[in-house]
Amino acid sequence: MIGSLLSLGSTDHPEMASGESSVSALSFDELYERYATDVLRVSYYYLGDRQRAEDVTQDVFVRLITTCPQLVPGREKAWLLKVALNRCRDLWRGAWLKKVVLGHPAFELFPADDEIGRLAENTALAEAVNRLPAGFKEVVLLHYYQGYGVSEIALMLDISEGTVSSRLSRARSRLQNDLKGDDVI
Amino acid sequence: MSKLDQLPEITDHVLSGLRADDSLKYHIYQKAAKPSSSSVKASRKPLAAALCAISAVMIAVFMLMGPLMGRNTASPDAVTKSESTPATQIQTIQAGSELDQSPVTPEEEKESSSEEEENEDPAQEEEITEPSAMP
Repeated sequence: MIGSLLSLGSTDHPEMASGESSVSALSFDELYERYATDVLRVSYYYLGDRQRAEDVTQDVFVRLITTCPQLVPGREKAWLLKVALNRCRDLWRGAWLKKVVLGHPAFELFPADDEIGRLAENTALAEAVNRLPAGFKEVVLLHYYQGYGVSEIALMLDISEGTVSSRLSRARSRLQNDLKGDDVI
Repeated sequence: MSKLDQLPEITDHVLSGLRADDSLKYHIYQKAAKPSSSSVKASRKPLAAALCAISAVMIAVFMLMGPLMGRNTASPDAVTKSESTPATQIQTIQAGSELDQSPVTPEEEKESSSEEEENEDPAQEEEITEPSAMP
């Protein structure tokens, strides 16, 4: 039912949604199974708060149902991540005063039970990525975590490719400083 | 291979317990089924605007009516009208009669009685006696 709705709606992100006949044939359930965890983890990296990350994921998929965008095949995940990052940015700005007054929330880790032994060696990088400023965090997550190229990130974030490259470079140097002794780059 | 390039694997390790499960999907279905808060807000907007308009009109009316009512009470016409009402006439006449009862010398009494006989007419005398009968 919801899958059929996805091919009927408006196109509020023209670069990732299309008014042409090549509309994504994936149903809501398929999109959720494939991409919801990625959306949730990117949101969690961004916000450092599990509850808020779940709220963002919920909002993204509710919007998918209610606005019914005509998604271009192969760009479904990009649309979902773009909406998620926009929502995260709104929440991040809204919570600025709280962060300043109460401090940054601790970046809690959620390893599976059988992964706890290998956890220690990877926590430092994950926490350092979470500590990056919002603008740097976005490009690092999209490039290194989700595997998008510079031009695709520029399209998703509505910024120039030069800005994306610059932010990636500065984010790397920040991580290098943050994780002294570790080979980040 | 740098550590940043291993971020997907590292994330899979450190956040492997963080998954979008069926309960989240259920919440999404529930939230999508409800009317969105934006549409509820949109439906409240005309009502709020109407209430604001009504209150603004009422305030404007009171602001306009206040000075007008003040003018009515302070205008000289109103004063003369109020003075010329029968009740005030009676009060002034009563006050005059009280003054007449003040002690006077026999000569003054004669003069005043002669003047009264000349000026006063019987209708006014009736008006003077009427209020004294009232409690």
